Amino acid sequence: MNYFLHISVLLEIYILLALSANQKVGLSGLLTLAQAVFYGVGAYVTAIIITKLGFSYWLALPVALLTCVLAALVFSFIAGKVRDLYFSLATLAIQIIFFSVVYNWVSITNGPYGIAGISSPEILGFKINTPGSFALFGGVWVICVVLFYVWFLKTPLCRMIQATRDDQIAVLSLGKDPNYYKRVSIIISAVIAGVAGTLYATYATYIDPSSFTLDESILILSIVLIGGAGGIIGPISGALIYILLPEALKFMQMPDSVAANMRMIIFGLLLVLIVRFKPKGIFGKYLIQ
Amino acid sequence: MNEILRIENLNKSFDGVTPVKDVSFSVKRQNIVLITGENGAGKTTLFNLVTGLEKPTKGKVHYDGHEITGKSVLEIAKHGIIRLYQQPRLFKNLSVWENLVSAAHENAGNSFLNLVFRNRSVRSEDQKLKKKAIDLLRKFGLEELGDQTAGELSYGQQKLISFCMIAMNGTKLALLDEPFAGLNPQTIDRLSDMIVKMRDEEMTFVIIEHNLTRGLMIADHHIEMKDGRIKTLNDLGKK
Repeated sequence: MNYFLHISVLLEIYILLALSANQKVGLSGLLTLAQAVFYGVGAYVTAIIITKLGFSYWLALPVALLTCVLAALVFSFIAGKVRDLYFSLATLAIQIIFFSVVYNWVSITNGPYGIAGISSPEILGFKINTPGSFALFGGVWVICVVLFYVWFLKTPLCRMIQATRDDQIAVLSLGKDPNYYKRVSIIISAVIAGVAGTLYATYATYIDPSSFTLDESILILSIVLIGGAGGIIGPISGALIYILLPEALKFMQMPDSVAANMRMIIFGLLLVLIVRFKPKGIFGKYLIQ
Repeated sequence: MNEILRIENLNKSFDGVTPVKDVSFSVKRQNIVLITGENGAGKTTLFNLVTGLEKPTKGKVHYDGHEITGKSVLEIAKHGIIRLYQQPRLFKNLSVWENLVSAAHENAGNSFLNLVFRNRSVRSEDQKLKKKAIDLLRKFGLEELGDQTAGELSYGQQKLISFCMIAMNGTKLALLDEPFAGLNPQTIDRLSDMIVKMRDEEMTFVIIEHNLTRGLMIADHHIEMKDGRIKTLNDLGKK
């Protein structure tokens, strides 16, 4: 049972990450290779505030999200200056810089040794430290974010974000600032990824730089690509496939050591097939370019 | 004030080339001004200078009584000058009515703070804009396209919709870059009717067009450019 709940928590974290990446990639058309940066910022700020300053999760959470917003502003400044492939290359650079900083700034992040002993959140004296309580807690976050998108996708602002994705020169010609819509989109994406980071840090109780690498950013992007960008169902189904695939392999009585590698092989193969035969992804509304 | 656009001694030079030389003219409200000339005559550079895409070396541009020389594309567009390119620029993954509503100059729901703090009034304003968009499509006989995805429309339909977007924006002055290029005669007729109808309501157009016959049919003034200068400026005597 605990194992099932553990899988549920992982699924919730990846659903949040996929939805956050979808905001940038699917709704704004900003092909980012640095989604793990915001995930990492959320996780590290939470971990530092809890372990080094001794504050609770509920204080760490707003500070972490505010830090994500500040990082998003830097990101959106870049998005306002460079476009398309150059934007992706700039995000690649940010991802590499972020990893180098958390890996080498030992006095703050403990570098490669990571930060251990991150305490769990508490609600009204009830400690969220079991897989069951965490699955519930993560589930509440997922429901909040999904409900947000059910509302947000129908708003005029989201329409303008998508219009900017389709043709930012046309938006400019109409007397509207495309950079504003990019900025809002990047901030929303950063906040959701930040929430996933705070969840991960408090659930795992230990974080190190290896969870926030370029590989992780590419993986998050692949989840959106497979599930499909532009809506809600696509990113969620992408996360479901990624998390549940190894479980399916276990049913085939594959040993764990083989299943882990098989997962990546099957996931890679799926990615190639999707790109070839269903470029919008399984439930995609927008073709990532 | 009857004059909406005034251009004074506009010059543009770069790398020893002067594509626009001492160009001066003014445009009255609710007029259609046709600009013709060979390739390289300076027509597109003139549009670039008026819309802020390029900065003039010398000269001034006044719009609606305000000097807009050297302002950014966004500032000029906010003032109310729209430029339509030869290729229609629609939001291809949005529906036609969504394209029109996105083109509206004012929509409180485009601001995140308004969405959060004034959600109810934002929704009602957006509904009003949607109704206005559908009415506009009906007015131009395009209502059947309302729910279609813009990217799936034919080239001609996309052009017609881009004109509806201008009307939806509520702009006063539109600069059109070869609006009739690549269209069949029926669509050209339809587009001409739209332009004249919009002119009669309250809009002003400056048009670059190689289809001289069709351009002269709807224009009130004709400017011919050659080697960056105005060669002739004729009042076609329709107004």
